Amino acid sequence: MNTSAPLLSTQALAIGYTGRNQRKRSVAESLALDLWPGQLVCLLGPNGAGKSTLMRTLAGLQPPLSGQILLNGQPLANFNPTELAQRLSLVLAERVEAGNLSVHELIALGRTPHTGWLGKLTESDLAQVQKAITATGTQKFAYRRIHQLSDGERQKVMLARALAQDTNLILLDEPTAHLDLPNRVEMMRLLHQLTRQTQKAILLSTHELDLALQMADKLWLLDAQGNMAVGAPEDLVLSGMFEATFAKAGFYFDRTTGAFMMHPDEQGPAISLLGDERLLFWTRRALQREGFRISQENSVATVDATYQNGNAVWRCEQTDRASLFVSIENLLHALKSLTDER
Amino acid sequence: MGKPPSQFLEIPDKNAVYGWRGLIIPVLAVLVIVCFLLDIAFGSVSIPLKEVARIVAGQGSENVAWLYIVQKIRLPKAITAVIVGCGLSVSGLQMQALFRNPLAGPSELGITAGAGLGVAVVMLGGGGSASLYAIRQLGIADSWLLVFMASLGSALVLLLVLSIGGRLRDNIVLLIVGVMIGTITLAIVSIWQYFSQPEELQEYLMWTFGSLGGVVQTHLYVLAIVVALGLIVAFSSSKALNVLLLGENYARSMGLNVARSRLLILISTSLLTGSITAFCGPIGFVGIAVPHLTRSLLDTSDHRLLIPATCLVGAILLLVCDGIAQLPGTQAVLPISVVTSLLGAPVVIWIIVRRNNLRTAF
Repeated sequence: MNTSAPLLSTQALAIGYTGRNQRKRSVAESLALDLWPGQLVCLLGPNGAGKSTLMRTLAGLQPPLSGQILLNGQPLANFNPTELAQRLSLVLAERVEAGNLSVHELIALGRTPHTGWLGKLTESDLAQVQKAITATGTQKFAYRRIHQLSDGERQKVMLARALAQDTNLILLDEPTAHLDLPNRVEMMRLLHQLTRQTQKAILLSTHELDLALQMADKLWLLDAQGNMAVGAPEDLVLSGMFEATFAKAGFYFDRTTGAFMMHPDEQGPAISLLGDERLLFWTRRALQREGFRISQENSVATVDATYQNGNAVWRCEQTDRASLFVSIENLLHALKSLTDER
Repeated sequence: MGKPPSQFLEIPDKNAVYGWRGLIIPVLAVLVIVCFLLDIAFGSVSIPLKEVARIVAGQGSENVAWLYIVQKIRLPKAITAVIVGCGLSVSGLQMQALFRNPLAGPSELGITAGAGLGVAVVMLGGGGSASLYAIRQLGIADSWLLVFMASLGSALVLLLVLSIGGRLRDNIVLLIVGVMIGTITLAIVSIWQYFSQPEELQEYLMWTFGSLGGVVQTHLYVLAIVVALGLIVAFSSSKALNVLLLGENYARSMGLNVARSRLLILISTSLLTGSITAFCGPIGFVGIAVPHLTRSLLDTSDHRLLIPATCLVGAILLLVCDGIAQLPGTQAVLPISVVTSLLGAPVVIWIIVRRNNLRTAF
């Protein structure tokens, strides 16, 4: 595969909707984006920023307001529906209701742009279906009905269908929206693995900031004003772009942990915290939730979190006494009554 | 994540799982032939099956009365039953896929009413009346006109329901819209009827009951050609119908030209419903019940298999309904549409209750 040219690129692309009276409502403008083979790109942005509009436009489901989208170096509009479907496949958030189709039948539908007028599957079509089933680990329920599947399994099947379509480019619009955490992680891991093994380019829009930061080769950050920032996740975090995109009062992005945190209550009593690395993170979170400040200065108590004989213990020292706790819950309880006294 | 045990990685042989489905079609085909012969044999005069088979095979009979009854009345009627069964069922199947709605069907969404309007335009506009008798008198050219207008009426109503229903995600709301449009269409026909003669009114009423016996030989050719055309278009859209199961967005992403497929489905549905309604009157519940019966029988959503199977089940159902309508052993005959409603409506209720969740009914 040619890895020296992008699979998909946009030039001065403006996306949005054309309403009544031909009035154009632009969502984002002058986008210059590209997708390279073997890349997993995550499109992130707050609700209403226009992620879905961009995905739909790139997939050819809605026309751009202006500018160009090039697929394999050719304008997207030059491809007829079948040619486009041979190069670009799609997975959507919508829950598919095709109850009586078996998983195998549904995945085989992915071969649609490659089959004849009646959709008859050849040996090589079946081989592709087989490959897609194996790659997504859907063997176990390949002959079950769609309505018997959980949401996580269903989305895996939809991905398998996109793989069976055998396109170099896969777009996924919030594929993990209805999934629980383990399934979301599993889905992202699968996508990451696919880009490495198959040299496909995968673009997905998602709200999974944590997972995107961990798995994506590149982030496309679309903020509420329609500004796009592109780069490696780490660069965007360090430059503050990541935080700015999701800026909202009441919480902040902790660059050291890579997680969004509630703003700690700056007025609360100070606790001096030390101890084992493994325990510090969660102890700090619990204390902050309860409104304590983590600080050495003017601290009302010192908490020392350590492991003793393999068990976590929290030693809490105050001016006149010291006590030992075996759970964070107990520790918080004691600290709260302490501050109530004062 | 640990590797699953190796036996889970084996995908079961497709034929071992689905092989029995190959047998269903031949079994159904045999049933169609049996029902066909039985339908001809029973009626106000019972004719031995052996004789029926001889006459149908073209070997004639020594009993001239039997020969006449079979050749002139019962054979055309049985053939009409088969055509109507195939056409209405496949039309319903396509509509259910098009609207992604298990409650869609030609009579439920007012498509037959649209065809009725087309018929009324031809019959009343020409100064005659929309009666069975008048239709029977039509020449070849006029019957083509009748089919054309009825199909056009169907297509217009279908377009209207489609354009309104496209914005509605709710199954039941679509149904209500269909019923309302059907009511409006029937109201227009009623206004026309209001200014007609009382005798014509009664004749029109007879037409609305539906009848398989009103189709004379020349019309049978027209009907057969149009329905065959509709069925061919339907079968050629089976790949599109399968892909549309996943919804419009997915269908488009897999290279389906959704607008063109919809147009083909619309043409096929209108031809089938329009031509059948023109000659036989509105026949209810076949279009909605048969696709569901077939789906539960075959347990598949693959339209390449469903379309032929639906044809056969529809033919069987119509032949059985016609047999019941004859009230064998008596001189009385029930209107066919009464029988299909009596048989079809409970089937629909049974399906809704059994499936519980309508969305999995596909």
